[in-house]
Amino acid sequence: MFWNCFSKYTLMALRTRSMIWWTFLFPVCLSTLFYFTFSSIDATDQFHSIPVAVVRDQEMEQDAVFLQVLEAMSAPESSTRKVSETSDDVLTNHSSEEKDGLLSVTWTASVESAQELLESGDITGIIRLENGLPVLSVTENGLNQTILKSFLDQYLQMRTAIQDILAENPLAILSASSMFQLQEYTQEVSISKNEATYTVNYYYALIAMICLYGAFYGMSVVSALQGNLSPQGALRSVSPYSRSRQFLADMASSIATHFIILILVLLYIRYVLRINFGSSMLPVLLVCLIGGAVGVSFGALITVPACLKAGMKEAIIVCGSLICSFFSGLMMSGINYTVAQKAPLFAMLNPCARITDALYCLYYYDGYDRYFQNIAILAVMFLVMTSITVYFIRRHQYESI
Amino acid sequence: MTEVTNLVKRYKDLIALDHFNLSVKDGEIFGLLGPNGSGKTTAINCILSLLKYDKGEIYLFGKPMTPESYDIKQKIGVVMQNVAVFNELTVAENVDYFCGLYVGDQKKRRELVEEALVFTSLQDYRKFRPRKLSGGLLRRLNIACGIAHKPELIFLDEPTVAVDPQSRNSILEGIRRLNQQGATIVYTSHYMEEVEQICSRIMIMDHGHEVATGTKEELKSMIRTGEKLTIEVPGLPEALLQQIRKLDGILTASYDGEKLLASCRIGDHAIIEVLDLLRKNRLVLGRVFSEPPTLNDVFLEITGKQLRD
Repeated sequence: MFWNCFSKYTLMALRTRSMIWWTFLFPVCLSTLFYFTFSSIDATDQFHSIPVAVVRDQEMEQDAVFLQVLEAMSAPESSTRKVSETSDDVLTNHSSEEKDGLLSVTWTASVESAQELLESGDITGIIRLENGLPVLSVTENGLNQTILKSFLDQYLQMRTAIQDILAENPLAILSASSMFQLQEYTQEVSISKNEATYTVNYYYALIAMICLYGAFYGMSVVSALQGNLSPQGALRSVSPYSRSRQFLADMASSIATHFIILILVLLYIRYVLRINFGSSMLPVLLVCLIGGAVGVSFGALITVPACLKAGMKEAIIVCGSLICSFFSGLMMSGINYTVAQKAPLFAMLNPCARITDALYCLYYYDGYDRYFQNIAILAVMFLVMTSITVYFIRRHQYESI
Repeated sequence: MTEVTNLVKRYKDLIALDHFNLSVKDGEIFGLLGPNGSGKTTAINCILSLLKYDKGEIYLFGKPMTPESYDIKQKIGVVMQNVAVFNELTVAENVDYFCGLYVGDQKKRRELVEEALVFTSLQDYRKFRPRKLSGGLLRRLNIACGIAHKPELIFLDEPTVAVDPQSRNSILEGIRRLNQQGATIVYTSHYMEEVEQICSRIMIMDHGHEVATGTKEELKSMIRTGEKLTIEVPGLPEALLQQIRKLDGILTASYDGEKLLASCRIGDHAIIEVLDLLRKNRLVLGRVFSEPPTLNDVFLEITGKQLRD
């Protein structure tokens, strides 16, 4: 009888189009939207080498020090690169973006060819030597232009300082050399193998939202079981198979169905969108299983009171899910940390925040302490909500139908 | 088989069942007849332990009926007034699901489901979803879900509401066959024709209590009204109408729209005397109808109102 209830209820859940939309298609669409939005944000946030043209004329060739500095700033291994001549006076492009140099230098033989590149927008500025001093030509104002100017100013300042020392007391340069080395007095140590990033949080909050959308399954379970909520419930109530057992079979079916759908969404996010969930997927699945169960039990609990109309219950579920998702960072990055500071109890009782945090723990932290703490809180939520629902479902007779 | 004594059910100030008594014997089709709101469905729901009640005793199969009486529930089949099927399951899956709440053995269940589909003539629709079925087919599916496990006692709560006459006849025929196969049936309806057609005993209900109980003949014998005459006779003089009213066996007589309407006392047949009188006065007669009393007449005479008020 359990299998009869379980299998038929699974069929019903899988055939309910609205449920499939809200728990599968909608999250897939939303995660894809996130993917395209955050890819461009990430691209904006990344530092790119500043494209610059250096006029390698006779004067430049004579300033070996400046050439060395330019090569060093354009790429760490620039000294090993070969220079070859190409047409149109553009000698070669020495650096590439993946080498993370400050500059991406294009060597040109004349000012005119550099000017052409500047006008076409291929470069940010032109560096050339004039009377032994570096000169920067730009056509626009902006961050990259400011960086270039600061770089040349700093170079000139250091060069002048060294020349002065050498002129006045050449031996002092030995003790002053350390003066020109940048000292770092703090050390940046990563507590994780993964980089701290806020964009993954959006995907984790999205998964938390899907977990809570399991509430629709829970709502359906109780509606179809309570004699005062549906004729199907009335018919099932007069059968010899107890209502508690039917409830458990339906809940198990709903949690299993919801879990399968969560796995599909998870696979899409992990392997199609390539979002990092940490080293192992098993703990992620555990979060989804318990998170989904919390969602289903939440919906079941909301549906128990017969005094509320079905529309009102749906509204509570949708609003509740959205509010919880909002405060777990689905729509605004970092709000979950603010809530955790200002209203720690609410943050602790927010199932979406717990699911998001558990997933972030798996991504960022090497240990599992905080992860299991979140899992434990979710498990307690599930048990409490399910127990309350069973308590009210067990009420066998109704005042009215 | 079913004994209900002094059942009282209140909805706040409204008394839905007022010391209601019911006794259904083994193997009969017992009809609960009453207008909407008379307490038929409330009585069924209380008997099934779905509803809490304030007072009274309910015994099914000689045992008190409680929500935990799973042994009694195993022998009961219920066809709800509202169609109780799942739209996401096919016809066969629906019947299998509800049958599965009673029968664990899958092989046996498969046979029972097949029998129920054949019984309700739904075998050609087994893969249809309920929303694709017509009203009549949907009602038949509702019945199939309630009776597939072959219960000994079946409660049918207005199973023909909003059903076309053809489907209604098919459903009534099915109910008769269930009874012939040994099931005791409690049938509620506000359609007196149906109840007259299939029930062996009938209880007329109003305001939550019993108005009268018996076979249809017994019920009709409880009132003064016998057969009713309708005679098409143009130009009936008032004096002649007065004479007809004075005839032996005539209870009432009226003339409306060139039709003489007369009701006779129970047991008396005054049609010959009425026709003789009309012929003697050389009146041209049209069509003549004679109807036996209906349950509506019984209800009307006992309660003073129409059954379908």
